[in-house]
Amino acid sequence: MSLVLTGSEVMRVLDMDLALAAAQEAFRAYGEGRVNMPPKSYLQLAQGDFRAMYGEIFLPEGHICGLKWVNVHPGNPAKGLLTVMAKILLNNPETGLEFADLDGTHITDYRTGAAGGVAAQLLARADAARLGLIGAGAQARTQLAAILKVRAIREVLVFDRHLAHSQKFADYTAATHGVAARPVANAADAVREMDIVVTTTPSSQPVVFRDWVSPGAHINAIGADAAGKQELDSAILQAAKIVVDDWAQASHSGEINVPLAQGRIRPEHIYGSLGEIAAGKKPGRTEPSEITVFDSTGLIIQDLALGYAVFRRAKERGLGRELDFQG
Amino acid sequence: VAQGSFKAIYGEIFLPAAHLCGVKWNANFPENPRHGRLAIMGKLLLNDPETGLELADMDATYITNYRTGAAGALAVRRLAREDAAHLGLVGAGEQARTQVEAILKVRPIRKITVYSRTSAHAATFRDELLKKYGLEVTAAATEKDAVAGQDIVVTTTPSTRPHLRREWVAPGTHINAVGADSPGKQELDPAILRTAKVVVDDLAQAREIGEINVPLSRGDFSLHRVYGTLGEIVAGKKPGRANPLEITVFDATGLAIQDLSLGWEILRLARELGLGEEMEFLG
Repeated sequence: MSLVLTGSEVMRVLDMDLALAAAQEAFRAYGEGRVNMPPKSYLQLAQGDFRAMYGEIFLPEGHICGLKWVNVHPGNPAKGLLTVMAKILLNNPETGLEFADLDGTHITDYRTGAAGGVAAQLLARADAARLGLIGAGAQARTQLAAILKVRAIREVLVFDRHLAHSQKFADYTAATHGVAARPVANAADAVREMDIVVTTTPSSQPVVFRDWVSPGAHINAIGADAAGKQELDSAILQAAKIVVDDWAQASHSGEINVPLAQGRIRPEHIYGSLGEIAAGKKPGRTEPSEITVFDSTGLIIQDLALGYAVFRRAKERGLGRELDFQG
Repeated sequence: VAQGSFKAIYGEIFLPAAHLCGVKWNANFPENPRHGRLAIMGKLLLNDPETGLELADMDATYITNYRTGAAGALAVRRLAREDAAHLGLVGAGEQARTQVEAILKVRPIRKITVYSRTSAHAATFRDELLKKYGLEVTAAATEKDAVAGQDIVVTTTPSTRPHLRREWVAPGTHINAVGADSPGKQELDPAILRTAKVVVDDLAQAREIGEINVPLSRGDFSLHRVYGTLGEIVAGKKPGRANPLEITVFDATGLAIQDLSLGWEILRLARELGLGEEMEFLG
């Protein structure tokens, strides 16, 4: 039997605390070698692409494997549709049997935000209070929600190429989280003097430059998710402690892919993986003045860990429908 | 110890009736039948390539079996002799079942000979075929008996060694090599491939996981000996069988486009019949 959960059913049990706990577990498992995760593969289409991501993870609550099938169609919002939509299938690795078939759209948003939260927890200064956001889309919302859970943020500055988007986001932040937030007219203002900076743009050109970044800042570089994408000036990476989620994926499609290809940074510049830090194998931030960068590409183990947490909570509460797909 | 494996196969296809893409997440757990479970199970998701929206979320277990059988029959239609009447089966599992069902639709088969390493499986399968089709069916004592003198041979074993020998294969025979589906697997003596017209479903996939993968890696076969793809023959770009004496081999690895195409037909028919449930996953 497989538990089928739609997006609205998922949202009845999914919140950022659940997502943060699942992300902690996923990265810890990664750092302790309890995952099996081939790199994601792409199906290129005229209007977008699909990604097939699959893997296996040993969590304290269970041993699971599964698939996420997720699209990216940048033209969708103009049609009133979401850019990114996903489906997650969870299976028992010992028998192959499917036990959950979940909408993965919200899980994707939350797990990406939660990874940023885990990175901020391990890499940002403990007293980080000012958060700058470059990009004011759906990704920025979950990054904000996660970071607010791990650091005492007092002020949020938002930059988006469309000023109306920044304004809307600042209003949303104040209304939803009760935190002072304001839109800024240029990217530099959302970076200078910030303790934490989050970039969530689909840019192929650097949008954040070295001289804007304060000593001691932590940056979550979320936007780059394909070869050729880049948000940070290479000089930032040259000066920073760089932490990736996964070397294979990040070197191919993460923030570091372009500077690596151009020879601006070398593999030895990479400090380690977030998993190694989460597992206690390497320290996170060691100096108040160092600049840290988390290069997030998104791992299937994050989806599996959060999907499993959602599944278990939904099951407890009797949500969704049990279906026998082979029946 | 690995109990099994999963494979994600995905793609896009422009059909006369639809443009679609999707993924099949397929489990292969060879030990499952011992515990009363299916060895091969799958899930198929169909999407609109223009928006990414999901069109269907369906079980793919039966679709996999039927599309594999149907590919075998399509190969038989283009590559086996018109008068092929004797069908030999090496392997008597689920795959053999749909190969038979499909091949009977395209050739006037009068006699089926079944071989399985486990003779009880051959006997059970013989009884099943007898009951279902009322043809002459024999369970062979040796593999050779299921190959020698046959017009069509279908191999569906998960073998890693070439058990089907060149000298058993009569001139004019067509072979569907269905079993090899991962690196290291092979069923046919490479000498068969070297003398046959070899047709693959997809060259990239066949060289990785198909019947030709091991002979290629050992230098017992070379890529330029591959005649072409079944698709090229079906599309009329290359002829199929050219004379009654040649030996032909179809190396079937299974393509995502077969799942998409059959999945689409299932979706269309199910909608007509009002089956299943329309769900708003994003709702």
